[in-house]
Amino acid sequence: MLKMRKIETLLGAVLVGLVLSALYVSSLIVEQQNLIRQTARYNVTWLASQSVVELQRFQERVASFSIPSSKVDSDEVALRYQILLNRLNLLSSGEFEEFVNQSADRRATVDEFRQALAEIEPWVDHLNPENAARIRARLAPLDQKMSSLAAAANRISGDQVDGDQRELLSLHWFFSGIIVTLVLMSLGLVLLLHFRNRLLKQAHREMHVLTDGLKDAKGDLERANEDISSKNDSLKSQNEMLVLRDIELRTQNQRFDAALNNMSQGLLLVDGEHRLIVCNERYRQIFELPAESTKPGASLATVTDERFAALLAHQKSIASGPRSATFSFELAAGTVCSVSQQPMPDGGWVATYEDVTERRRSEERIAYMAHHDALTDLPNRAQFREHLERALELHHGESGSFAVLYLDLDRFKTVNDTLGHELGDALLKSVSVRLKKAVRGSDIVSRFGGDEFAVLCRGYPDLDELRRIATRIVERMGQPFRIGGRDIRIGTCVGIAMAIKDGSDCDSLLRHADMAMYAAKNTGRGTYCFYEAPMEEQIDARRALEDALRRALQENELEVYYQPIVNLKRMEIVSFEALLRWTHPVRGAISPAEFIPVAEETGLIVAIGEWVLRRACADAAQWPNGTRVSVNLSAVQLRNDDFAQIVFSALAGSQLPAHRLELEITESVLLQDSDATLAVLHQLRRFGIRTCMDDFGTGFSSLSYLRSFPFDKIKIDRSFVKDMHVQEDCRAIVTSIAHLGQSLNMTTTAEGVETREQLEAVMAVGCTEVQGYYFGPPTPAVDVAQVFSRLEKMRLAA
Amino acid sequence: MSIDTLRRGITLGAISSMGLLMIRSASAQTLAAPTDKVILTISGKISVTNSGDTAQFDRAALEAMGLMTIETNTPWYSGPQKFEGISLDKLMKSVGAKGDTVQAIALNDYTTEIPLEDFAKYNVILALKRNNEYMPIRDKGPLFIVYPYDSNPELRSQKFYSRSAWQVSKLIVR
Repeated sequence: MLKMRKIETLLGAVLVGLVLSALYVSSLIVEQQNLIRQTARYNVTWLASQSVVELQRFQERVASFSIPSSKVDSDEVALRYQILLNRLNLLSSGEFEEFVNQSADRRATVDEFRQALAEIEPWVDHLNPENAARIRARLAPLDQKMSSLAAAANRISGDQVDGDQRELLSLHWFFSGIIVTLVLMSLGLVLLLHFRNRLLKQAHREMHVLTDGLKDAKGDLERANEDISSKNDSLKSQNEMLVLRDIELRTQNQRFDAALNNMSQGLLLVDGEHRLIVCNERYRQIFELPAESTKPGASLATVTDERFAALLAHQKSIASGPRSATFSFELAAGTVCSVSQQPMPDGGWVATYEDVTERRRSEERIAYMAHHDALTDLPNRAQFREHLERALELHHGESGSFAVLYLDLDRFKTVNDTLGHELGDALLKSVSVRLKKAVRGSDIVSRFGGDEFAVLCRGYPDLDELRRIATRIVERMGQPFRIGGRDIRIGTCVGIAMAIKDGSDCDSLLRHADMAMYAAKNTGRGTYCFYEAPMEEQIDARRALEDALRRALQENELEVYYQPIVNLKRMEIVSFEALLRWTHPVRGAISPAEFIPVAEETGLIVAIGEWVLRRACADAAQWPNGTRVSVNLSAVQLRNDDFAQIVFSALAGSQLPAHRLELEITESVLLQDSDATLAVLHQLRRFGIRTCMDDFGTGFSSLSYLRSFPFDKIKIDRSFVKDMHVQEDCRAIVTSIAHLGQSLNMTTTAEGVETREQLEAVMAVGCTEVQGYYFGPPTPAVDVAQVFSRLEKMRLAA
Repeated sequence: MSIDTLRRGITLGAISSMGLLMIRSASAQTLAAPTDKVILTISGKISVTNSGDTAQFDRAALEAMGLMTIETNTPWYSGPQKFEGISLDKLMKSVGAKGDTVQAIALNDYTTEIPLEDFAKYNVILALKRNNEYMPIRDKGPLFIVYPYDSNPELRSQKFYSRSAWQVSKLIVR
């Protein structure tokens, strides 16, 4: 590169030299041109020499003129003279003048030539031989001077030419030198260029090599770059994967932590050296451990409290075995912990701890609740059955080993409905207390639900023993209960079934005790009864009755009979009481007292009652004189929401005026759901239907019911009427009721009047109406007309 | 040169060129014989003559051919001079010259040879006047061959100075 720079400098210098030389050559050429022009300038020599020739020719012409034979005339001379004048002008002007002025002699010569020509002019004008001679004489001295002038001009010209030639020669040499220099310089230039070219070629080659190298390097670099970028990509993807894994791990860790710390169980992970790997917050809570002592790596022996040394020892022993284990551990008094331990392959273990105290308690409570009545805390039916079964197993059907007593409470439903459930519950509690006191310590008292109780009497009780127990129960239940500031009277009947005589399994024993209880009830209140085989038959008969009754309605076995009610003042029939009769195809007539309770218990009374109502309305619509019809209602019927609609429908269907329908209800109807019942009764009464209180005087507190609803009529129970003519108290009661009716503006009907005496008695106390066999028994609808006519006859007869 | 002279010159030029046209039409075969003193005789290879084998011209005849003006420096005068005269090219054509050179012979017996092509190439004139005056013999008259020396450096050399003959009286076409 240094060489190259030197060469470049040299080349520049040579080029500058060449340019300078060319410029110089150009200036030299200009100089040479000037010189050549000088050599080419007008030749003064010629002018001067011509002036000599012309002077001589003029002299020769003048001389010839003098010779007579010559042809030269004066004009010829004059012409020559003119030519001389012309020459004189030439000598005294232009370049020649410069030449003349260079020397005084030359100027003198020219001056003399001018002067001579001036002098000879007159002679030329007047040319004659004499003047010709004068002209020649005057011009003669000029020849030599003019020749000198010509010679001088020649010499000057020669010198000039000589100088010019010398100058040209030197210029030529200079030129040659310069040309040689130029050639040399060009040669140098060529050499330099050649050298430079070589250098350039070398540089080019080097560049080429370098370029190739670079190309290779570039290729390598590209490959390396591709390699790197691919590696970079893979690294990036690996990095992304790592980041993702990191995120996943973190999420998992967070989840793990969250799971760990939100576990309801305590968790402990221990390695083969019984060092803590991880535990959760719940674990620390259970074992009351501070967070700092449960760092990973801590020895379990130092971590746990010595209170739990036994637990740790147990867990270590489990860890040494291959199986997982679950066991309970009492942490402290009343706190039970369930431990589930799983051995790990490295000899460590993972264990979960759960405080199951609450669960245990709940389980126990549930178990207790499952076996006990919540209200009375007595064993319930289920537990009673367990006990019963255990007893059965224990004694292998040994006869007389134990007995089952079954009882329910009389009127409990009424108490519950009238005094409220709270009071009912309190009553049940008191009952249970009394029951437990009434039985022996070894007996088990159980409440089966509602007002049903059972007693398991164990230890081979004999009949007397059982009688004593039953009697105690009945007596104590018969005594009033003081609850909520009032005395409540109930009662009970007890049924007794004895193992194994009365049953070899739970169900039969319980069923038979139940049957015995019903038997006792049928006997009367406040009794007990041992199971006897016919009881089952009675129950079966009752079931058969239910089925028959269900069929009776469909098969039209039911019939409505009508018993006349007579107004005592007018002695005429004012209404009939509709009375249901059932004629069984096999058994014949069945008493309402037998099948009505069954109908009420089974709910058939709703359908039967409706049928009776429609039938009665339809029949009454045929009757004369606005005779009313009186229909008995059951409490079950009134509880039906649609009852009022059924009544209206029956009236509409029969076109019987509402005031001709009388509905008879007993006090017991008002005892149940009295508010709802009263609402229905009011609704019906507003419609014009009459209401009547049946069997007045047989119920609880009848008078208050009279206040609660404005009945149109009171029917005095037959039990009072029957004996009033012989018993004063009956008479007094009937009298009072009759007076009460009068005061309250209600009709009073005496039921069960069968004799003339009875009629007179009720008439005497002021009853307004009478019903009974005296005026006629219940008769089928078809016979109602005969009743009317018979009564008419009786009235006329009276 | 005053404006007046110039105008006159132009007018004269215009008139003479009209006259030349007339002469040329007349001298298609012959040339009018000189009426005044003959100042130029052309001989040699010419086709148009008016006196034997020659063509003779008096001053009027020459002037009638039209004048050209050259203003130039010369070696013979100090400062530029105005010359008026006939275009030699035109003159040669008017006499039907068919040669290569023209030999000019002056009154003082000076002789020079001029290539015929010079006349057209350099616009050479045969001057009659210098600075509006007819040139007398004592001042290179009556006819002076003048090149326009200032127009071309080539002309400023001895070669053309020697062709510039004055006091010309004869031209011989060869």
